[in-house]
Formats: sequence, structure tokens, C-alpha cells
Amino acid sequence: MWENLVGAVALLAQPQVILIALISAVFGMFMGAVPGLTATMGMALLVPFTFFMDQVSVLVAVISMSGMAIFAGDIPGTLVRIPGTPSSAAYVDDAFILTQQGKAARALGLNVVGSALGGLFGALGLMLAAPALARFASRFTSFEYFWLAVLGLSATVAVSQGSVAKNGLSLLIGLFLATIGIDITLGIPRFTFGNVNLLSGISFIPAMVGLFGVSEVIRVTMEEFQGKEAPQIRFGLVEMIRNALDGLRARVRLFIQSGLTGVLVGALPGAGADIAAWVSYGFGKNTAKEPEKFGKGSEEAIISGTSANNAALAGTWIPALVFGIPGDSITAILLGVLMMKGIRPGPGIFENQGNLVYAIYLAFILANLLLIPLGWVATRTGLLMLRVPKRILMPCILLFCIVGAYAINNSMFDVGVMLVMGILGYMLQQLQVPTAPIVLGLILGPLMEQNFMMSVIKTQGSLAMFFTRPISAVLALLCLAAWLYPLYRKRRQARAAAAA
Amino acid sequence: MIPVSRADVVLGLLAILAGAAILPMSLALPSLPQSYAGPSLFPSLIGCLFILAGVVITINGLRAWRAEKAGQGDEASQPRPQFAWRRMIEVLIAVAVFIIVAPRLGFVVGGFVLVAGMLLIRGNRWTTSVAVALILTIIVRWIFVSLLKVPLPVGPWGW
Repeated sequence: MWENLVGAVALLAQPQVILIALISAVFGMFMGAVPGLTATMGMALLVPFTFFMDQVSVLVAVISMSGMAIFAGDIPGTLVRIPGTPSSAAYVDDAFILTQQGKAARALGLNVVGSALGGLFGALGLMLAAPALARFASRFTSFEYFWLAVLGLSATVAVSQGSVAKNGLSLLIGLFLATIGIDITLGIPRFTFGNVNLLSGISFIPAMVGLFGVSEVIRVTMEEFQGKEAPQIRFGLVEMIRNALDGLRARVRLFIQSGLTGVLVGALPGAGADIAAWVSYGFGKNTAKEPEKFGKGSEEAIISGTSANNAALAGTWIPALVFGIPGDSITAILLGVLMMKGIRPGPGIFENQGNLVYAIYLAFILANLLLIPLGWVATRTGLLMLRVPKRILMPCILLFCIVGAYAINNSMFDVGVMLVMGILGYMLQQLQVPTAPIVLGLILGPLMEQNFMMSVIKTQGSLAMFFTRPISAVLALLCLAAWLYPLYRKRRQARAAAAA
Repeated sequence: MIPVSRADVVLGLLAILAGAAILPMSLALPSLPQSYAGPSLFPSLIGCLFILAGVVITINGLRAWRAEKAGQGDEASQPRPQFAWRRMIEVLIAVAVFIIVAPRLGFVVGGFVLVAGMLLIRGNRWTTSVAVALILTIIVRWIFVSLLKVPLPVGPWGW
């Protein structure tokens, strides 16, 4: 452990790594504070810049960017009631009402410190859960990995909000796209229609850039922010920390509950910071001292959401590192980049690349400590970003999307893939079909098929081992639970509606 | 636009169609000798599930549609999916032009045409559009090609 820690410090304590952390944080601040730009889009735009970075720099850049973006989404939410990212939407009313009551400084302080402490809590969760899970997972064989992939796919549909059928459809689109290309058992081209470019399959990163970058270029309207004169708030850094800690001290239990909720929801495949904020807000309302104030300017509501969404970020790395199964869309794109950088996530990296894993832990801690002073600066500059003219910004973003999609394989065909996925993603979103399950389908589809084929070839076609191996059986039962959960939820909702 | 319920019926039918297209193509793929497993297994399953999801979405849509007709709320108040067709076609054309131009005339020309065109369509003054597009493409080329050594399309004149 100690030599890994020393190794990790040596990896991080390089001038260019620190510089990249700072630049990424500023970039994240921008992506978070401008409504319409999200942390996932930030990740997609980061892709071409990762080509020249070494492994540690990539990890640091992503950790620093995403944490800052998820926090910075709170700033326009608190000051003008426009959440900067979907993750800040759950508690936007509470924060804005505090601003109207003249308590903007207090609300922003809670946003900054609550986010940073939530992020640190998440880091702690990652450090405790991931290695333990990895030790357990080192006993997994193709049977268990098959169920794990199925479980990931099922959880994506079960925990997401909205229609189960639409979530399922989105997942199926991803699964289908993943089957395109040379098949792994017999090497037969599937659904390539004679196109050579499709033989190696749909390129993952251009597809992601399309889904999360280009679709937003289409979606974001050109309505510019018409300066409702936002309040000018000035407060000192020390004053902010003292005030926020004062607000948090009386609610330690709520904070811990929110952090835990964040980590757990984050660790579920497909559910990231935005769902974590909603779930934690709901929990908070059920357990708060003053639940009637939720939605009406409650500090408890802000703490529930703002710490959960930042805690979720570290949570999403747990399945990503241990199984190569992304916890959200950010880690999904990250996994694509890591493959390119020669990092293959799995239980093995905790033993073979201990320095790197410890560098991830340390980077989470540093990024969240850095979030306090940088966040304080952002509360002063965040509103300026609302004034960035979108009719100039969005075409520029489109160019960066193209660079990212093209440069990964030097292929114009990939730019076409990006375009098609962008338009598809936009249309699905407008039909209220979520796009995150597509990503999970794309990543987990091959994992599921490969491990299934390996298993049945080993057993000469018998399926018994999928159910008789103890861990396999448990995972199968968990899958069953994930399938039944939507039915249970529906019944409970129906009962609640009948009672009301 | 039509209300969401009816759009869902269309979406569901499209999903059924997609499944109906995928399924026969998948079944035509070979399997391992003397086994059900093989390249055709998973695509066939996916095809079937497409049809299932489509049927459920269609039925839900029809139900919602009937509830609307039964008179809960007037026609105009139903949520409608908004398709920004114009912005969609703008992006489609802009990227398509880039795909055609950039390999022949290089990244700088392709990128300039893309950004300047998009900026103009989105209602910026032509002076702003040309200036922003020119500066941005040159900076992006400088950062990626010169600084980060990321290759971008090259025209006959080397940029």
C-alpha cells in the first residue's frame, strides 16, 4: 500500500499534471455553468485532447473536469433558476428561493462546500469499495461475467426514470449497434452490408461524440440569456467555508446519507450524478427534520442534492475500474479512451497497476479540495458565462466534435458515424427516449455475447453452469430482481395513487 | 407536431419494423455446428426484443391517445415533441459539406466553410462569422496538428 501511495504521489506531482488539472477544472466550470452544456459533453470534447496525454493526465483531467462541472451547474441554478446541468435540476427551486430571500451567499457556500465534501465522501467510498469488490471479482469466470453484463443491462433499465419500454428500446439500439462488424465466434461479418468501414464495428468514441455533443448542438436553442439582472454577491473564502460548515454541522446524518446514496446510485450502471441527485432529494425529503420546506427554500434539500451528485461521480468509477462496466456516460467515454491508452480495467489493475489506482484515489481527493477555492472564484464569474452568445458558441463546438470523431482513426467515415448518431440521439431525446442506455448497450453487448459464447463452448452447449456455480446463481437472482423491480415500482405507485 | 401519445405510436411501429428487418437477417447468419449458439443467436434475440418493445410502446401510446380522446384536457394542451427540423438539417448539411470538402481541400478550408456557414445561418453578421471561423480553424489546426501532433485532413497545399 505505502509503495503504491509513494508511486502515486510521484505520478501526480509533475508540473504538467497539475497544470492539466487546473485547466480541466476551468474547462469543467465553463461546461457546467453554461446551461445546455453538460459534463458528459465536456468529456466528449475532451477526447481529442487526450490523444497526447499520458495515462495519469487523462485520469486527472477527467476527474477534475467532471467534479467541477457538476458543481458549477449549481451556480446559474442558484442565482437565476436555470440549472447549468441536469444534475442540478432537483434542488434548483430551493436554491433559487434562498437567493430571493437574500441568502444567495449562504446557498452558494453550501453548493461549493457541500459539493466538495460530497466528492470527498465519494472518493472514500471508491477507495473502500473498489479494492474489496476487485478481490471478490478476481474469482469470476466467463459465467459470472455474462451475468454481470446482463445485470448491468437490466439495472440500466430498472433504475432509470420514465417508461421501461422506451429505456429498453434505447438499450436495444445500443445492443444492435454493437453487433455490427465481424462476429467473435466465427468471424462472420454481421450487418455490414458490404461496407469495409463497418467490418471493425461502429467506432465507439465517434458515436459518443455524436450522441452527447452533436445532439446538443442541434437541441440548444439560440435564445440568448436575456440578462435578468442577477444579484451581485461578494463574500470572502473563509467566510463562505465557515458559513457552509455551520449549515452542514447540524445535518451530518443527512450529509452522510446523501453521500452514501450518491455513491450507490453512481455505482449502478447507467445511473449517474443526475439520477443520484433526484434519488437523494427524495430520500432527504422522507427523512428531513422539516420535509414540508422541501421545494420552498430548504437548506436540507440543497445538501441532499448537491453532495449526492458529486459523490456519485466517484461511485461511477467503481464498476468502471473493477469490471469495465461504466457507471454513467462520462465513465463510458472514459473507458473508450482508456482502452486506447492501454489501460484495461478489471480486477487485475488493482494488483498490476496499483500506482495508477492510487493516483486515481489521490486525484479525486485533490480535485475536490481544489474545488473549494476554485468554486469560490466560480461563484463570482459563473454568471458571466451565461452571457456567452450561444449562436457563436454552438458552431464552434461542432468543429471540436468533428476533430474528436475524426482524429481517433483518421477516418471521415467516423465523422459520418458521429453525424448519424447525433441526429438519432436528438430525435430519441425529443421522443422522451433516454440516450444513456444506448451507451451501456454498446459497451455491455459485446461483453455479454463474448462471455456467453466462451461459456457454452467450454460446456459444449450446456447452460447448467450458469445456474449451478454459486456466484453465478446469486448474480442470476439479482438479475431476476432487477427485472421484477419495475413491476413492483408500478404497483407501489398505483397503490400510492389509489390511497391519495 | 402531433401529441406525444401519437408520436409514441409511430415510434413503437418503427421499432416493430426495425425488429422485423433485423430478425430475418439474423436468422440467416450461421450457427456453430450442432449448436444453437453462434453469430445468429444474439442478433435474433435483439430482433425479437425490438418487436416486443415496439408492441409495448405502441399499446401504451394508443392507450394514452384514447384517454386523451375520452376528453381529459383539450387537444392543444397535450405535450408535443418538438423537432427542430431546421437546426437538424443545418447540422446535417454543414457536416456533410465538411466530409466532402475537407479530404480534398484540407481541414482549414473545410473547417472554415463549416463554422462560417453555421454562424451565418444562425444569424450572426457576416463579418463576425468570417472572423470567428477563420481564427477558430487556424487555432484548432495549430493546437492539434502543430502542438499535439494529432493528424487532421490535409489539402493539396499542405494544410
